[in-house]
Amino acid sequence: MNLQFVMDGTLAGAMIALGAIGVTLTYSVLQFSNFAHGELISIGAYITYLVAAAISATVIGSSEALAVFSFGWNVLLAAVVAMAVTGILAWGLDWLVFARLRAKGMAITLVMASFGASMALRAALEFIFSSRPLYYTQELQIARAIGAGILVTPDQLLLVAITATLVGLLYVVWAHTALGRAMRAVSENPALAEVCGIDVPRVVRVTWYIGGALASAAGLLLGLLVQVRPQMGFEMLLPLFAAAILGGIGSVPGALCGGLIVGLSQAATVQFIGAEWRAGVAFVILLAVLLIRPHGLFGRRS
Amino acid sequence: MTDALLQISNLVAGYEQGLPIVRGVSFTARGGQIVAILGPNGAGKSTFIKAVAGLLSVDAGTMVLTGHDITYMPAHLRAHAGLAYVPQLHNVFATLTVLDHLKIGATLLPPAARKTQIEASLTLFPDLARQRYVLAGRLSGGQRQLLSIARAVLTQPAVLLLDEPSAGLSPRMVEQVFAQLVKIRAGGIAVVLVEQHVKAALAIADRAYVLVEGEVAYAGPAAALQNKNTLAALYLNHAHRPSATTGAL
Repeated sequence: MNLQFVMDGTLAGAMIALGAIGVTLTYSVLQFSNFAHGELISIGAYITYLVAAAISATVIGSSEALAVFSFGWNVLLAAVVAMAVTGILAWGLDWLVFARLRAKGMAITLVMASFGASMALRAALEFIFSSRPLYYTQELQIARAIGAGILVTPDQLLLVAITATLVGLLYVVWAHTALGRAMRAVSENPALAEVCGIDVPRVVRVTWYIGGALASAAGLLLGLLVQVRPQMGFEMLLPLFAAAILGGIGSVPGALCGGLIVGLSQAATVQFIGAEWRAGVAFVILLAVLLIRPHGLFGRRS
Repeated sequence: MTDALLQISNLVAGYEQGLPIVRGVSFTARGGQIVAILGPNGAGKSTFIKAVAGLLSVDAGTMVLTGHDITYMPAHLRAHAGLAYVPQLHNVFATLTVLDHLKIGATLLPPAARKTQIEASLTLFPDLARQRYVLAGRLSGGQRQLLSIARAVLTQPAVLLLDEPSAGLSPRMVEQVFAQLVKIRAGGIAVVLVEQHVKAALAIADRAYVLVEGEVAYAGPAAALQNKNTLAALYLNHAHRPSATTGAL
């Protein structure tokens, strides 16, 4: 049996997981499904592209391929800048739109507002950049066999490593730091958290920063492995929510596992059943898991 | 007599602006005292304590904590200013461990004092020390109440507010919780206690307030309320009040 789907699924799962963590954090802390999260992925990818291009134009040689990889250090530096900027933009979106509606306690309006923000941001990206795809690099990479019939490129391995590092760092913050405790406390009971001395608005801000930054990282992965397009984040939206729900809303390890399950099941479906069943099979798995564990794999019972 | 740690004047508050539940309450709590707030259901006791904790907006009046005006201060800053609050329900984070709760409390302290205070707190509450890595959601009702008190006291507050700490607890557990409150008073903290369990509250309280329909019907020594008829008359909002009644201390 060809195990290529394991590598393909892991890569897709890594991208989905990075986005799903943002979705699960936002839902957990704010009790709010942000349907504009996909656009944060697209925005992060475009900011990375713009910053990388700016560095390339000002620093000669910065776009030359690094060692075995297909891209230069300008892309890596741009990705870091894009994570910071997208984090701020995510918080800005909350400040401008969502926080005002949240203060009025309008839950359904908030969800519709996130749909509206999603469409507006996507339209803005199309207006500014057109729907023509962009690429971080035009270099071709030769995939190498790593055993069991699996072929992989150095870029792909690096991106899996970047995802693992980001998720690992986030897990350490979430589980073992004062900020993580504050985030977990706010997600469970904001009023109690406040009287315990936790600055709830600050925790909300940090949640948006982290969610936006990870979305930007997902945008980098997607941009490097596929291409940068205005629709790229929106097309990820259903898998993101599937992963977040499958893993259990509010659980960082859950979002990671959910992302990998969705990614692997999609890749396995493409390889063994047919590409047209890709989305369907992933959601059948989601439904099956939820029938057995309605709160998801790692979620808490309400 | 020690200085007032919490001084409230003519407080008007409620859940909606223009619909006050607490109507012109004046209140004082001094260090090393337990002050019981009593009253019939719907008298505004919990509303009063929530307003003091910063969970409700204030329509009028002033609140001064250790000399600082906290009337319009956000709840989390009141905690930093020395006001600790233990709610009646949902007073712990079910998915956080006992130790996590204490660490959250300790963030209000200077970094150098945090570890020592957590250990001191676990010594004071040995039942919790044995379960430091247990999720709070797995604790019994009494243990949760003790954890919530431990988290609050760890912050070394000037004033500790408790909303019905005996609610839903067994008589043995109520005894244990109230014994802890007596120990906490000995540390110089002003303990403010909203309580339906009148007999138990009066047994440990130094001062008492009786709220009826959002107003102070009695303010004075707790001992003066030991007579059942006095309390019944106050609850019925009768004019029969002990001579110590002043409207405020």
